[in-house]
Amino acid sequence: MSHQQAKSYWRFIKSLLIALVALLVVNVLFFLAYCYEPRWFYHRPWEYFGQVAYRFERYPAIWEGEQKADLSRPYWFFYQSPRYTRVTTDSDGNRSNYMETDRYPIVVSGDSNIWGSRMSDDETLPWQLSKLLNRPVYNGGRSGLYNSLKKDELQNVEIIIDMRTERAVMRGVFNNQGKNPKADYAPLARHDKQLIELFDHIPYQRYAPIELAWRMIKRLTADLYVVLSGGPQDYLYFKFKRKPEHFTQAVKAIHQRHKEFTAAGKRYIFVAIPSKQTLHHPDVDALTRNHIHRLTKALQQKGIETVNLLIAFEAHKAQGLFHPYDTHINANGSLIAASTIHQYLTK
Amino acid sequence: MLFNSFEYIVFFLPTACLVFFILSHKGYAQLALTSLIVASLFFYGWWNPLYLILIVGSMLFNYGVGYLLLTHDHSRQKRFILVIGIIGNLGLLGYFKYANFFVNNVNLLFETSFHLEKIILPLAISFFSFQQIAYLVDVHKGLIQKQPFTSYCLFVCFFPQLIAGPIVHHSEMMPQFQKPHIFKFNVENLSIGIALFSMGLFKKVVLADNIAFYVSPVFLAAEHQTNVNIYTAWSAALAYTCQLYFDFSGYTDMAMGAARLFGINLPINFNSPYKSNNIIEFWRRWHMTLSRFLKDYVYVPLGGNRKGHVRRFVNLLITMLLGGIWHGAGWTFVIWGLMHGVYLVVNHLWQMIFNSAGALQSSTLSKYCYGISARLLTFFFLVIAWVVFRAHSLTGAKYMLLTMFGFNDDPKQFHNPFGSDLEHYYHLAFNILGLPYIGILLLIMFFAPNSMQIVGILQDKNHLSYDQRAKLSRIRFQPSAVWAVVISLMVVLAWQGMLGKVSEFLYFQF
Repeated sequence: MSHQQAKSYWRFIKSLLIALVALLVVNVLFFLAYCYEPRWFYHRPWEYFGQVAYRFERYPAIWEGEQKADLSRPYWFFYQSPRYTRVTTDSDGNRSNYMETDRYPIVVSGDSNIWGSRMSDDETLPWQLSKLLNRPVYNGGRSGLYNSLKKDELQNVEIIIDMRTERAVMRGVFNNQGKNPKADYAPLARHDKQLIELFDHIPYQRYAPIELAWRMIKRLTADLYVVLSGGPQDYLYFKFKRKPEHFTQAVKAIHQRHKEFTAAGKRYIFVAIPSKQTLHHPDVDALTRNHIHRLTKALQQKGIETVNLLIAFEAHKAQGLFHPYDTHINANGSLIAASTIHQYLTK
Repeated sequence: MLFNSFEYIVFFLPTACLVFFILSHKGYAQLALTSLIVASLFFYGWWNPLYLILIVGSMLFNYGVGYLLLTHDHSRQKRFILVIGIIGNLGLLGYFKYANFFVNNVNLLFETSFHLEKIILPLAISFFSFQQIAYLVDVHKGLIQKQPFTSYCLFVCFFPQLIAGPIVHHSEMMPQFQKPHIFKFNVENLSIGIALFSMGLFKKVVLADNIAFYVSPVFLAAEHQTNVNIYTAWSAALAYTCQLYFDFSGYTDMAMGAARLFGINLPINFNSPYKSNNIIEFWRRWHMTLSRFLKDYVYVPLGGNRKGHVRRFVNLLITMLLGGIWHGAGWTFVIWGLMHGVYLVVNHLWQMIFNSAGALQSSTLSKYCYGISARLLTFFFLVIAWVVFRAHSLTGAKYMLLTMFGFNDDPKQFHNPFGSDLEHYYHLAFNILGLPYIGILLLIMFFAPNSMQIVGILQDKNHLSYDQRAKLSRIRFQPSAVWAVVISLMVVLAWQGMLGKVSEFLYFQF
C-alpha cells in the first residue's frame, strides 16, 4: 500500500469517526429535548403517563392537549380524529374524581373505557356518575379491581360497580383478570430519577430521530394505501371469536366475585359495556348481538345485580356513543352508561 | 458472545485488536497469537464457561490424533487412528446434538420409555467438529506437516469463524498466521474490516431482525393448526427466505470483517445465492464452505460421479441427507436435506438431457428468458424447502405447504396470528407494510451486488460482463467521505436496533 493510499484510508477513518460523532450528537440533542419536555413526543396521554409521569416525579402528572395517533396507530393523516383533552391524576396515577374525599362509598372498576380513553376528566364515566348521584365515586380504571380495593380511600367502600367490556367477558379475559392478586397494593414508584435512568427506561423509539423518520415513512405508506384503496372507511371493529366455554367461565368467575364481596358486606353490581361491533357492525351475528342479554339473564338467575347497558345503548346509538376510528366509548357513551347506572341505583 | 452485542462491539473486539497489535508492535509475535487464542476462548466461554472444557478437550484430542497420524508411517495403523479420530468427533457431536432425537424416535418406534435428560447443544459444536475432521483427513493424506499446539488452537478457535463458520481448511488459515505482515497494523485492513462488519451488522439487525416479525407468528400459528390463509403463508415463507439470507449473510460479513481487522482473510462463504440459475449453482453460493466440506469429505469419498449415474445420484442424496442432519436433529432437517438431494438429482438429470441436446439456449433472447425462468424456478423450490427447514415439526410444515397451495385456505375463519383481534392491524402488517418490505429485500437479493463484491474481495471477473464490472466499480467501497457517512448511518441504525433487543443468529442453532 502506497503512502498516498494509506493517507486516504486514514482520512476515511477520520470521516467515519466525525460522521458517527455527528449522528451521536443529533441523537443526544433529541434525547435532551425529550428530557426537557417529553409531551412533545407523545400524542396519547396514557402512553405519556405510563412511560413518563408514572415514573418520574420531575414531570407533571397532567396531560393537556390534542390526542391523536401514536406508536400504536399506523396512519398519519387518515383514521385520525384529533381531540383536545385534559387529564389529571392523583399521586398513584388514578384519574381525578368529581368529588375528592378520603373515603369513597362507590368504586367503578374497569379498563380504559372507565379510565377515560380520549376523554377529559369531566367526561369520564365515574365523574358523570358521581355528578348524577351527588356522591363521591372513585375511578378504578387504572389498576384493576383488587388492586384498587387495597387503597386506603376504598376501605369503607359500599358499592362495587364492576364494568367490563363485552369483549373481555367473551374472550375469557375476564377470568384471568378476575383472579385475586396476592401482592399488596403497590403505589407508583415516582422518583426524581436522574437523566441516565430516564435513558434506561424510555424506549429509544420515542426520541431517536431516525426512528421517528422511519415511523413517519411507515405511516405515510399506510396513508398511501388508504388513498389507493378508495379512501378511509369506518373499519375499526374488534372481531372476536366466541366460545361457549368462555361464557360459562365468565359467569362462574363473576359469580365467585359476587359471593366474595357480598360475604364482605359490600354490594356488587356487574355491568358489561357493549362493544362497537355489537352495535354497529353490519354483519354481526345473532349470537354476538344477544350476548349481553344472555349474560344479564344468566347472572340475574344467580342473584347477581346486573345492569344491561345494551338496551340503553341501542336506544341512543344514533347519537354516536363511540369515538370515530376507535373502539372506546366517548363522552356520550359515558353519559348514557352513567345515567343507566344512576337510574338503576336510585330506582 | 454475539457479534451483534454491545459487549462484543464496544469492549471485546477493540480490546482484542489493541492487545494483538500492541504485542505485535513490541515484537512479541508469538505472544500476539497467544492473545488471540485467549481472546477466542474468552469469547467462547462467555456463553457458558463449562463448555470451555469441551472445546479445549476436543482440540487436545484431535491434536493428539493428528500427532499420532504424523508420527506413524504404516498405512493400516494410520487408517485405524483416523477412524478413531473421526469416531471421537462424530461421537461428541452425536451425543450433544442427536442423542435426544435418537432416544425420542426409538421410544416412538418401539414403544419403549428410555429417558434422557435434555442435553443442551454447545455452541459451534457442529462447526469445530467438522473442521477438525477435515484436519484429520488432511493429516492422513499427508497434506499437513507437524506444528505447535498453539497454531492448531488458533486454526480451530479463531473467534471470528468459531461460532458459525466459515468452515475453514487448515491450509487456508495457518499460512496466513505465519505471514509477517499480519503483525503490522494496516489501516486498509482496518477500513475494510469496519466496512464489512458494519454492513453485516446492518443486514442482521436492521434487515433480518425486522423481517422476523412477519415470520414467527405465522409459523407458530401453522404449528397450532390455526387458520393461516394462503396470503399470509406465502408472505411468511418469503419473509423467512429473506430473513435467513440476511441473517446468514450478515453473520458472514461480520466474521470476515472481524478477521480482516487482524489482516486475516476468511474464505468466502456466501455469494448472492438467490441469483443462482439452478440448485447446483445455489450450493456453490450458499454456505460455500459447508458445501465444500460435504463434497470433499462425504461425496467424493462415497465415489462422487466416478461410478456411474445411478451411484452418483445415490451419493448426492446421501450427501444432502447428511447436510440436512448436520443442520439439526429433527425430521424437518432430514426432509429438507432429502428435498435438496432430489433437487440436485433432478438438476443433474435436466442438464444431462437438455444441455447435451443444446436446446433452449440458441439465441440471446431465449438465453435471457431461460435465465429468468431458471432463476425464478430455482427460487420457488428453495422457498418450498425453506418452509420445511423453518417449521418446528413436519405437521407444521405440511400445514404451511398445504395452505400455500390453497388446500387449507378458509378466509371466513380468518384468524390473526398476532393474538390481537384488530383486523386492520393484521391487514396492515401483511398488506401495507409487509409486502413492500419483503419486495425490497427480494430486489436486493436478486439484483444488488453483495458485500464481498462491494469491498472488492470477490472480483467475479469470469461471471460479470465488462458493463457489469464497470457498474460495480462505481459503487465499490472507497475510502471516501460518502462511504464514511453511509457506514456510519448503517452503524447508527443497527445500534438503535440493538437497543431494542439483541437477537441470536439463526445459524447459531446449527
